[in-house]
Amino acid sequence: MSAGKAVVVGSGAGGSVAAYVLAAAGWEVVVLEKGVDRYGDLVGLGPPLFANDELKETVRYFSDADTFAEPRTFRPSASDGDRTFVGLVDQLATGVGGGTMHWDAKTPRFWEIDFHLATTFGVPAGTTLADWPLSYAELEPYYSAVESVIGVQGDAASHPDFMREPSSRVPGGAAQAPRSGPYPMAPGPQQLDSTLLAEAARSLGYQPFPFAMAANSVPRDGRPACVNCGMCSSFGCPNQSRGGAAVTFLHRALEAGARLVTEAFAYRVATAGSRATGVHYLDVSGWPQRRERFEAADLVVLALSAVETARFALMSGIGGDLVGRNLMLHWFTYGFGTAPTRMHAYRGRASTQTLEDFVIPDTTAGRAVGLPYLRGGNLELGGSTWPIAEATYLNPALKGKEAKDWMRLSPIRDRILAITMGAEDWPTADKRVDLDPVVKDIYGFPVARVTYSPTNFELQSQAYIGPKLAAIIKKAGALYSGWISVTAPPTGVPGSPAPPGLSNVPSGDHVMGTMRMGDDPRTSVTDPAGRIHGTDNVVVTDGSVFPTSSGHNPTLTIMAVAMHSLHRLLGLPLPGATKSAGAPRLPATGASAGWQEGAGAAAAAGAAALALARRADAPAPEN
Amino acid sequence: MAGMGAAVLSALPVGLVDAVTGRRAEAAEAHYFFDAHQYATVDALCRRLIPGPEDDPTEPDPGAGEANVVAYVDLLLGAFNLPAPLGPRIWGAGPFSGRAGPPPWPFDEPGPRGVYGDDFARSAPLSASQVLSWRTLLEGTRGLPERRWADVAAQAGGAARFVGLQETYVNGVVQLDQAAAQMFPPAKSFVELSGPEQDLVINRPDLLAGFVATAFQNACEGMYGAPEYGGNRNRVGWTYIGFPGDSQPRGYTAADMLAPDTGPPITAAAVDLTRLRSAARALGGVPRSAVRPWIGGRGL
Repeated sequence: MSAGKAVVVGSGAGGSVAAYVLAAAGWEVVVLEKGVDRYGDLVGLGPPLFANDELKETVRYFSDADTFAEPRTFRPSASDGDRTFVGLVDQLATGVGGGTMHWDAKTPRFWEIDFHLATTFGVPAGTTLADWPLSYAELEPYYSAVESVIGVQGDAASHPDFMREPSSRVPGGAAQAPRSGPYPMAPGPQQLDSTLLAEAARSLGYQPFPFAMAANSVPRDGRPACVNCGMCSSFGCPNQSRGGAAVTFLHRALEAGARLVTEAFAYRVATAGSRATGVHYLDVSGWPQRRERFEAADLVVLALSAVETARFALMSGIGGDLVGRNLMLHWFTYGFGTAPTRMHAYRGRASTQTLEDFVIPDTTAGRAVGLPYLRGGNLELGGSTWPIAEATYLNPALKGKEAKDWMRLSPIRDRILAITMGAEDWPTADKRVDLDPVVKDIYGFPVARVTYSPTNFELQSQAYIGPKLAAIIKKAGALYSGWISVTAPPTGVPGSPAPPGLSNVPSGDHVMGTMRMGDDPRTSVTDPAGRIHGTDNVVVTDGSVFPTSSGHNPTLTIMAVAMHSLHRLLGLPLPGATKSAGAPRLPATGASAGWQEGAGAAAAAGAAALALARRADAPAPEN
Repeated sequence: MAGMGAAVLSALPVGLVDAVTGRRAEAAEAHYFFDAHQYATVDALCRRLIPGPEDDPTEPDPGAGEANVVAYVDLLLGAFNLPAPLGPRIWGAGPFSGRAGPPPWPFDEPGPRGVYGDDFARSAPLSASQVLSWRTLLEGTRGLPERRWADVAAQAGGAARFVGLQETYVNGVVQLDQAAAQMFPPAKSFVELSGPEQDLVINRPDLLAGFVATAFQNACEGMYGAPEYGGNRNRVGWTYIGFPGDSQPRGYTAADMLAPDTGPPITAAAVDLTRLRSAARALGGVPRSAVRPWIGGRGL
C-alpha cells in the first residue's frame, strides 16, 4: 500500500503505534481523539497536568473515563432483559494516550502457546477458542521494538526456566516467552510488600521475578527516571517517566508530522463499496453546539479499544455479524491479607514483582473437572490503595470513631498484602458488545452494552487458584488472608465462596476480542493484518483483534500486534532487521531507544537532532 | 510553567484557596453553595461521621470539624460559583504541590531554586463537554435538552430521573430536620440535637442508605483529599493516619521502599475479619452507576 492520507481513530496504545508507523513511512496522518490532552506539550514533553492527587485522578476521574457523560450498560445474559446496570462497565480512560494515561504499565508478553490454544487443546464446547493467524516467533521482533520505544525495565536472566527455554512443564514444551535481547533497562528499586510476597512465593516453590514495566529506571529517551512516587496505577504520571503511548509513540508520530485533533468524537466511517473514504466526526469543543466534521482518508485505522471499536463498527454498519462477539475480559482475582506491620506500599510503582507459574495450563486440574485445562494469569505481587478509597470502601457501614479506628489500623492500605491476577478468559459467541436500545451518551449516540457471563472454565480456574494466592499471602506473614474474585459467578461453584452481594459488573479494564482476526471471514472479523474482511482499507489496531486473551496484561501485545499489522499491510521490513546504526545517539542523560523505524530513519534522525538541540541548553540532570 | 513568574501566577489562586480553607462553619460569610443553616447542618453531620475530640471525648485525633470538611463539600457543590481563574473548581492543576520539595530536571526552569508554586491550587481547565457533564452532575438536568441523556441513563438504571448532587444535599438537610422533629420533639432541626441524638437520626435506615451514604463519601473526600480542595486543613486527615501525602517530585529511594516499619506490630485480634472480607470485595471496585455517579469507582 503506497503512502497517502491515514485517519487514525483513537490516540491510545494501538492508535499511537499506528500513527507513528504510518507517519514514519511517509503517510499524512490525522489522529482523531474524542477526549482532551492532559500532557501539555507532547512534542517537547513539557510538564503535564497529572498529579499525586487522589481526589482529582481517581474520585473525579481526571485521567479516566467520564462514565456519567459516557455510560455503558451491562447484563449477564440476553435473558436478563435489556440491561441490569448503567454506568462504569470497563470503560478505559478517555483522552490523549487512552488507557496508558493512567496505566500500571506492566508489560509481560503473551506466551508461545497463546497463539495456538485451539490446535493444542481443541475447541471446548460452547466456546470459540481459536488459533491466532500469527505466531509468537513472528511477533517477537515487534515485542522487542515496542519495548525499546516505550522503555521497559526488567531482568530477563531472572525469568523462570519455562519462559526462557523449552520445558516439559508446559503443554507443547516450547519456550514460552523467549527474548531476542535483554530488556532496555534494568529493574528499579523494589517495594517491601512485593519483596515479602516474592520471598514467600519462592519458599512455596514458585518462581517470582521483577515485573517488566514501562517506567524508566534511568533517564532515557528525553524522560527522567521514575522516582517511585507510589501514585502510579490509576494515576497520570507527573514527571513523564512512565512510558505511556502518548509520550513515546504519539510523541514520535507528532515529531514525524502527524496531526492530533482532540475533542473529535468519531461516529461513522464513510464508505464507497468496499472502500472507506473517510471518517465522520463531531467537533465537540463547543458542545452542546453540534459541529459536523469529515476527514477524508485513504486508510482508516480504528483503535478506540475493544468495546468502543465494536460500537463504532456497529454504528458504521461495517464488519458483519461477528462484530462485538467473542468479547474477553481478564478474570480478575485478588488475594488479600493484613500484615502485622506497615508495608507503606505508597512508596513504589504499584507492584514490583510478578510470577507466571499460574499461566501454565494445568491439564491435570482441568481433567478433574472435565475441562482441557485450568489456567490463571500473571500475578501482581503487592500493591495498595489510597486514603479516600480506604475510607469509603465500607460506606456507610463504619462511621464515627469506628471509621477512624479503621483508618488508624489501615488494613487495606498501609498493612495490606495484596496479589492481583488477571486470568485468561475464554471467548464465546454470547460474550459480546452491542448497542443499547435506549441509553445514549452525552452526544446522543447509543452506548455500548456488554453482555457477559463467565464460563465454567473461568469459574473453575479461579476456584482452583484463588486459595493458592491466599496461601502465598499467609506465608508472607499476614495475620489473615483470603481471596476474592472481582466478578461474581452467577451461580456458586462448589468450593468457591461466591460471596453474596458481590457485583457481577465487569471492572477489570482488560478488554479484548469483538473484532477478532483470522484467515476465514466466516469465523473472524479482521484478516491477519487487522484489516476488516470485505474492506480494502479499514484496519483495526487495538485489543479487539485478539482471538484469545492469555493471562497477561494486554497493552504491550496490543502495541506489538498494531505494529505487526501495519508492517504487514504496508510491506515494511522487520523492525529488528533495520536497526538505525546511522541515527545519532543521544547523550547518556537522555539515551535514545536503540530501535528506530527502518522506513522512517530520516525522520527519526531529524527528531533525534531536534531532541539534542533541545537538551543542549537544559540544565544538567540530577539523578 | 513554574518558570514564568511562578510567584505571580500562583499567588492569587493560593490566596483564594486560603480564603476557602480558612473559613469556619460558624462564620457568617457567604458560602459557595450552602446557606447558613445548610452549612451548619452538613458540618454537624460530617462531625458525627468523622468525629474529632470536640465531638467524641474518646476520640484522640482531629476529625471533620478540625479538617473543615464542610468547606470541601460547599466548594464541591459550588464549584461553578467560583470566579475565574480558580473556578470552576473541579480539578487542581499539576504536576506538583511543592510539598515534597522543588522539582528536579526537567522541570526546574530558570529561577530561584527551592521555590515552587502550588500547582494544585490552580485549577485545570474543563472542556465544553466536561463543563456540561459536571454541571449536570451537580445541578441536575433541569429539563434542559442537552442534559436529557442523564435522565435517560438514570431511568434505565432504575431511578425516576437523575437527581443532581446539589438537590441531594438540599433535600438531605430537610430530611435530617424532619427526622429530628419526628424523633425528638420539640426539636425542629438536626443541629439542635445532642451528638448521640444525631447519631440515632443518622442511623435511620432510609437516611443511612440514602443521603448519609452520599455525605459520608464526600466527607471522606474532604477529610483525606488534598487540602487545596477546601478540606483536610493543615493536612490533619493525612497526619493522623500516617500518610505523607503527595511525594512528587521527590518520590522515594530504594532504601525508603524497603525500610521496615518501626511501629509495634498488631495482632490478629485487632483485625475485624468480617469487615476485612467485605472491604476486600470492594478492592475490585464498587461500580459507579448512572444513578449516583459520585459513589464508586475502579478497583485496586
